[in-house]
Amino acid sequence: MNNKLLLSAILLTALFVRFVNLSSYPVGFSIDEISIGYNAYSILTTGADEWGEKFPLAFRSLSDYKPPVSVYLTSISMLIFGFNEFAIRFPNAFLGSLTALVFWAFVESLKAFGKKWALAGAAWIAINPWHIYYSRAAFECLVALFFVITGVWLFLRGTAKKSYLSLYLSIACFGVSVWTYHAERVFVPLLVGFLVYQKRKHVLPMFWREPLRLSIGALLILLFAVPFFYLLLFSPAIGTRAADTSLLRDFHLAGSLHNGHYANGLELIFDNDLFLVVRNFMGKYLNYFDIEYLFKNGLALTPKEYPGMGLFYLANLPVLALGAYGLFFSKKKELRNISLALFVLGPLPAALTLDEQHSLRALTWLPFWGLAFVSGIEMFGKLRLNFKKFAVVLYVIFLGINVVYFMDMYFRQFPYFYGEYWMYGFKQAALIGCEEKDRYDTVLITDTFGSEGPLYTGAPYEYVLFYCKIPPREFLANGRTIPGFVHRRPDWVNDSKKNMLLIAAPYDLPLEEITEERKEYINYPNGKTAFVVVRPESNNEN
Amino acid sequence: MLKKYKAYFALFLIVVGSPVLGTLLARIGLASAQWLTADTAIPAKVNLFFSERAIEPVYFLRHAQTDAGGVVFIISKLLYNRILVFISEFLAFMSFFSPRFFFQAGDGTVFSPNTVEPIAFMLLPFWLYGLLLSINKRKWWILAGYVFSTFVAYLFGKREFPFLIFTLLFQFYFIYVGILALIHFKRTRLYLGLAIIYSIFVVGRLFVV
Repeated sequence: MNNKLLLSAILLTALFVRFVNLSSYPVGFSIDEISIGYNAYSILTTGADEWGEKFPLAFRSLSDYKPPVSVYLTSISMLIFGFNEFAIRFPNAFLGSLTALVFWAFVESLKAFGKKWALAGAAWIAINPWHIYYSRAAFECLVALFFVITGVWLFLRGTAKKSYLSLYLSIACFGVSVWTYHAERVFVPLLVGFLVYQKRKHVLPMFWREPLRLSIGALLILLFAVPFFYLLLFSPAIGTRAADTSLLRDFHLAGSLHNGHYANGLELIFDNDLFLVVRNFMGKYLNYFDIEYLFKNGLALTPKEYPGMGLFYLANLPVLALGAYGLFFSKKKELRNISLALFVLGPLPAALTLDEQHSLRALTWLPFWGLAFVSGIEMFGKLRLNFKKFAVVLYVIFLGINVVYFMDMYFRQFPYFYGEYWMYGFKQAALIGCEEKDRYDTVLITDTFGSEGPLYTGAPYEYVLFYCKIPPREFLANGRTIPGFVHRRPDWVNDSKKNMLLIAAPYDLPLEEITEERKEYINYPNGKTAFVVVRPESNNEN
Repeated sequence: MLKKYKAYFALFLIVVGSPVLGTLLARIGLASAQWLTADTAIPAKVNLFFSERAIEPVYFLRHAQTDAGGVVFIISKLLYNRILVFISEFLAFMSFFSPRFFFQAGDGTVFSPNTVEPIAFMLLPFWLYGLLLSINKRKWWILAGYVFSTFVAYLFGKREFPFLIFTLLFQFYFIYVGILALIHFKRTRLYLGLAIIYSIFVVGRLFVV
């Protein structure tokens, strides 16, 4: 009974930290979120995506071919909550909160820790900064992680209780996770292969002598695998994303590759491209084991020269270190092996991409650290120390300070420094454009932005589609254009002569020539100007 | 295999698989000169904790988007203070233990060119196992020496191999322990065979690339 109460309290905590001010923080809505939102709306109203493809298995979106699961989940969310920002972020926040529950179930299914320590693991997930950060916006990786942990739990449960239903649901969860985010396409097959090998004495006899049940399992796997391979072989949906983010696009690596042209035999042997690629991969892989990344600045909530926030609370450093040691030397073989597998495989998908460190793609590593926390807490709990109570009090105080620090970082500092990276300003620009479009021949919203100069390119049309609630059929009928809107940098010399509402970055406009009455500023949270709204002279006089 | 031959084999693999050992020995004069001519960063490190330069970014965050005297500012003062400078330096010290530095990237100097890893990457699993085994067997003096030797490099403010030469010895020790602990497994011996070939390859890169 107490455990149920505690679990409910943990779930409520998880829900609270993820749902508080969900529509407002992170500030701004990223282009991916808006794209997911509009495609979800399009699916709900027309059964097709923004490109007109009926119930696609990959959403072309901004030619990045988003995996489908998050979009369909958002459609369901919009059915309940309506076509708004909350509905876009709801699936992540909800499933992120539920992840604490399924992680508890996963730890319990290992039968390696006491019940109270499994609860500690759930609590750890509930307030973990890395997990919270990705729960509060539409990041597919978080939804995928939920399905991965659920899949592992169901697999362990199925093999322990000889439950075919659990195993089938496990296959379904793993299959759904592969269709949710790209990292799982590498992580899940390896993890499943390991799990089946680890539990081969349980799993194989369950199916080997049961052809019907084996067929059902095989059909389930094919249900997820066949469309995947079809897309891989006959469409750009899978390959495009892989190519765009592959480590082969790493600037330093690309510059060092010979691409088949070697000066001599020695170069072919000692400096061949395969070795260079593997070496680059190992460098990226080992980058994830950097203490500063894990505990100081991994979440990149502030620039590097400022105090930052790591993936974990600093208070948990000794617990995680102790726990990791405990897992590697655990006398429970299954726990040790599963931990090792999660430890080794976790950063693998992220290391195959071009970024040096990417906390989004490395989210598959979180379950290992959750297990390490549970192990560390249990080990500490079993220690016979005179100062144990004092240590616990100190830990709780230090952890509390860490949590408040993270909240301050997330709600105050992060918007200040990185509001523009979340496309802050485009929403306001789109809303102004939508509201005033009938007064002008054209509304121009720039696609180029950046407080320090024209550094970034966005897709303002997505914001107009979303905030103006343009019906998808109308958008497609107009050849994927929005009548009355153009999305480019302004050409002041010509544009200023037209009856055109201009919304552009300040460096693209001769602000000194424009009277104050005609100008309206849209500022970033740090006070710098994001966009300037310039109304034409004749309209302003009216 | 007799135990002493296993030990010889482990030492042989460490010597062959650690190009940084060869470069340090070949340039021992240069490495020593670096020690003799280097000023310790101790005064700078001590001053750092109390300098305005170090505390400026902290105070910037303290005052960001808040009015002096409000509740947020009071909490801000508790969160953003000199303790963050200490924490930052502590984590900077901890990053000296990064496996990437020893097994992939190196320090980029003549002792460890960017094209060659200081210690062959294939020895990393043995290093990790040896380190964990040392903790398991409570070899506290070894571990204390490992931490202290790294701390010395941190005090000099130099993340370069001449200053990490003693840390390297501990790294070799952990690799040695790891190899001896795992060598009786059949698969390990196969892996070790591949590690020898790879180590020779890495040394070859030192001269060819």
